[in-house]
Amino acid sequence: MIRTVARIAAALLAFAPAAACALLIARHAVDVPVAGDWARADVLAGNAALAPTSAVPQLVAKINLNAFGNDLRLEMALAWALLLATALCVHGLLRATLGTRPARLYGSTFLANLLLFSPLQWENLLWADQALSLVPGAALCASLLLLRSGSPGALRFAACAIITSVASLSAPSALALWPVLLIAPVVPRGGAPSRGTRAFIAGWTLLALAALGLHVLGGGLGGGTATPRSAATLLGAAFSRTTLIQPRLLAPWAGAALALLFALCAAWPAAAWRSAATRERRLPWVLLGGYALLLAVASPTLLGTTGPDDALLPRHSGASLALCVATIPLAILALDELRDRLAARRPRCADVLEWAPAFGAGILLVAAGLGWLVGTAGMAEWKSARLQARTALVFLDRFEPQHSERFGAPLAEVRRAADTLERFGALRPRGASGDGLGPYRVGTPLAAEWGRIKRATPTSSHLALAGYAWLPGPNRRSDGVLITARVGDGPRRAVALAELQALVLPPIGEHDYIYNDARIPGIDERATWAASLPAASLPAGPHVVLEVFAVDSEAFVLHRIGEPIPVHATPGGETP
Amino acid sequence: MRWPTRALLLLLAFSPAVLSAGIAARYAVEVPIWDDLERATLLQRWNDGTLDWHYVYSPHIEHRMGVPRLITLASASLGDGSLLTEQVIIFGIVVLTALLVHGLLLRTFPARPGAVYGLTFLANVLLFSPLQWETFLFSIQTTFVIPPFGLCLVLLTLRSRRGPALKFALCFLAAVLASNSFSHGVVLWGVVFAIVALQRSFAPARVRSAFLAAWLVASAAVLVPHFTVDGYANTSNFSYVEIGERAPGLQLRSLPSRLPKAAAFASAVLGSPLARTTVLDPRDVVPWTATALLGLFGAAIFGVLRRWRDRELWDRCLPWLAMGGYAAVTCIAVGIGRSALNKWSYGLVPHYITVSTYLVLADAVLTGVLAGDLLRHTAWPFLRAALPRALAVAAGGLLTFQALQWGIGVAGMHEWKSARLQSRTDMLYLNQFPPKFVRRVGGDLEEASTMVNRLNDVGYLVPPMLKDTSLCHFALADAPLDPAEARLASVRLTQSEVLVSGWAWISAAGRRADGVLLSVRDADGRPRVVALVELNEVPYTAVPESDYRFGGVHLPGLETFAGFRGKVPLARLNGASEIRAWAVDSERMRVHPFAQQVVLHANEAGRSAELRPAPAIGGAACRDTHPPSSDDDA
Repeated sequence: MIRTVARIAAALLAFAPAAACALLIARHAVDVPVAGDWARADVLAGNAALAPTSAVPQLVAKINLNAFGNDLRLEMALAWALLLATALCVHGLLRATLGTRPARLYGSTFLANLLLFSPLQWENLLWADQALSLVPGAALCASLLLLRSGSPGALRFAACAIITSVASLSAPSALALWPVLLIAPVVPRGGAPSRGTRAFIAGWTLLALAALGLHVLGGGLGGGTATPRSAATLLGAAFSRTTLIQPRLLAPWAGAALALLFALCAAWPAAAWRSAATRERRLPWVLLGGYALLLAVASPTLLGTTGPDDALLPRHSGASLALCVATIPLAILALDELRDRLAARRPRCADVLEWAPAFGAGILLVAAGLGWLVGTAGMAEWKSARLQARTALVFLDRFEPQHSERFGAPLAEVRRAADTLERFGALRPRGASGDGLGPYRVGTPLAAEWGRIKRATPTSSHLALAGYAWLPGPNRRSDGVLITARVGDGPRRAVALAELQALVLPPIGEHDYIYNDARIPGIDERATWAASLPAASLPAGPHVVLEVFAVDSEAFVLHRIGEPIPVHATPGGETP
Repeated sequence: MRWPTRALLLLLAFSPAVLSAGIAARYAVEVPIWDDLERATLLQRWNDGTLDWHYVYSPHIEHRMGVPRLITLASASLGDGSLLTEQVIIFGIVVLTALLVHGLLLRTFPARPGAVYGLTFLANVLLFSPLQWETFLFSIQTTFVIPPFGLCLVLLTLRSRRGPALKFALCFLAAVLASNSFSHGVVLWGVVFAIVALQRSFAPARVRSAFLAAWLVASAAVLVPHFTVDGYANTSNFSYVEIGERAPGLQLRSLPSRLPKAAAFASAVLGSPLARTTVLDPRDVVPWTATALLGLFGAAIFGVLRRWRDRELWDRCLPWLAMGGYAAVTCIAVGIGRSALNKWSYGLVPHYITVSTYLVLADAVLTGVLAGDLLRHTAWPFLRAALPRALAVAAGGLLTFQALQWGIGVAGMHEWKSARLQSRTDMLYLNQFPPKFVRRVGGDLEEASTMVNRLNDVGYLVPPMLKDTSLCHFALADAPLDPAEARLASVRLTQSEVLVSGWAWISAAGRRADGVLLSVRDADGRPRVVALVELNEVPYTAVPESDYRFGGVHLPGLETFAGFRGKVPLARLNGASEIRAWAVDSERMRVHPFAQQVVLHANEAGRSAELRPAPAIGGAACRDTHPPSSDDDA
């Protein structure tokens, strides 16, 4: 009984990163389209032809549009579910290859989950359009698990073929699965392939060619192979953001070191590969790591990267994480092998090696744990940017966005797609009508320390306003600054929207630089905004009052910044 | 174990010291700031023959710093008085401390070389961490490293097999050195008393009693004058209190009202060694790390007390309990003292890590000792299997985290060096161009100016202050800097001033410029400096562009990390219409021209200023002229 409870507790602990990741997604997910998300407007309008290379994403988008009103957060939940499926398959593979000793099994599962669910890949977790890019990883792990099962060969072939085909219709990166999985049935037994194996190879090759042909004809593939630098950058992406060194300098080294470690653990000792049992234990991890290496080498084709900087995008961190996941069991197996060899000749060395996996786990725990902190900060920035985009969307018909790059698409396309989505009730909240405040209500004023109007400069035709705004409750920069005007006690009219142009810097501890007299940017630099109001946009009247509001687009609340500004009409125009 | 293996292990265990020495050597600079400038009075009195023991013993805030002052005098009389000599002495004292810690580990883990060398390595990773950049690169910090050295000397002495008389003598020496270096050292008097009273194997009861009685007398003989001579009033210029005042932190009557702040301050000091990551604000992290470190120490005390009857275990643990206790008590005392003067987060300043890191070390060693004891006595198989693995996980994690801390420390050293070289540029022109960012030199301009001039007068300011504004004190580089790295971004003319802004990075030096000089040509063609523009920089932090592709954010560039804004009064131009800009490398006493210059126009429409490409000038501008009259070493 105690054993069972302990096992359940260990399993729960091992999957704790999944729960933590779910909480982070729930906290940072925002239902605002970005970049490729806008394309679903065409699907909704019936203008989009079914692209065979992205049939599954289109299908998922269609289901979401029709059944759930295009709630993008559901697709973010789907991304998490795909990761959970991957994690369960990885756990199954660990059980099959490392044995069932609880510390080893649940310890390595915990580490693998810490990597798989790392928020470092925040774009995959919080961007609906990217959710299905996680299918190939899940498909690979599921196929590797299936191939180890005791089911009949034909059934295994069929199941793997279906899974890999679905993956290939989800993301181009799945093309790497075909050559990788081709090796799986061949290697373990060695010797001449059996009839069944030959049939598998033939069938698999045909399907692989069909998938490749589909992608080539569909025109969804980029060309060329990656340079060694960009391939290494991709492999080191997940382990290069936790220091003060520029990731673009560190990542190639981290990637090369990780690839070397993987190769060493996979190949050493070479003699071990002669044993069928060893081969069978190592093969799934070699294939998983091989998949990551293949993605890195063919990243321009399979991931669409265009260089080392592109390889560092958070959505491409998966290859780096997968290679590390594959290296964990391989390192444990290689250390086992080494300890066995040393046991007779150098027992003290063998004793020391007993603790090496735990020591390595400590290293990985801190490295991956710090990655989680960086990823969580990235998620917070992503959420802030999306909520700012939401504010701009609400007032899209009234005010020209200052930072349309937050939409990830040309403004004209965004306007068209937003119209379509809104028409079908697939964009929330609806845009503000007229010059009203839209879905926002006025809440409590912002305390002076969190927001200020630093400058109000009238000219003959404009009024320039500038300041900063931070929302202390949700602890992020304001999601925009709305400027309203009212005549007397009349209704407030939105007259301008200022977007924030924030200086992004991690926290800098002033205590570290007290003798340097360095400039430590405060929220006044991290949450700046500026707006220019044409005098003509102000209502006519003797008692016009301007109010400046920090926008909270999550709770749809406006918090007034500073005091209302009375505008006096003068012969030369309006003056605050 | 054979000696080659032992030597190899020792080398590996002390490799952090070698690495740290290399790093410190790269970033060490001879620029006195703040408390370093106190030496001006000391050296002037020495030169004048007016120095007496009274001054040497006088308090600096509440610290008696006689030993560091004697080190300064020794350095000045035996050598050239260079600040770098004192930085080497600081490092040397830490090396001696590390050797004492190694000796202590040898006695704590007899016949366990794995534990000894592993923990020596960890101790060295902590003791030599560049995270303590203010300790390694700030010459006044001899004051900070002597008390821990005294502590380790005391701990090893009391664990040794020497006779009580020798132990007394060594402990007395260590405590006198420590308490006359910094007030942290006062804690040592209590530490020695506690260890002698509690150590089971110390000596027969009569000897122990005699030792304790003598120690009380010795403590009173040293500490009574310590706290009373001259009213224990401050005599230093660069401190938080005026000369003649007592430190407000000593007024314990005000403590109840500031207790929360004192506690927060103490927790900031205690948790500081583990509080820095690249994304979290250390102020948010430090309460957790302090609680964890103190909690672990508390658990260790509980664990040792549970095994009170085991004499051998008790005596093995006692030095480490004393070390952790010393760190905790000192940090609490710092919290009480400094909370009267500073905000609580000041406890995070890097030099305090030199104290609190000993709590981390004590925690690590006590965990090792107690885990080993638990393994020997437990009958629970799960614990026997899990505990060593848990320790291995913790060791791997701690070392990896320390690697990150070292990285942060190196970045801190880089910023320190950049700031110090900017201080140097400020000091060179202190009498001509009063600095805007005076806190890079000292607390306020008047005091800083007095002390820098005094140090300059006694010949210990290297390089000396410039006596005139000729640019030819510097070597002039011929090639202009790449406009992407050094740029005048804007120029504006007001009624009385020319305002310029831009940024300046010297890639050959691998850091921002140490200042920007604006010059005009005099009638004889010699370039004359008309303004020193200081950089107003944000400490460098890597921000990957790739992480913010759809963020619409402002990513910091050189304008943030190496930006400047300055002005030149028109009256200084003497009618010149072209202003050249130069990025200063004050390490090499060299200036690099910007690719642009400011051109002033005057016509019927009024006056205006614009930026134009600058013609080559370089070293030729000074070649045809006589060397300047100043005794600089340019």
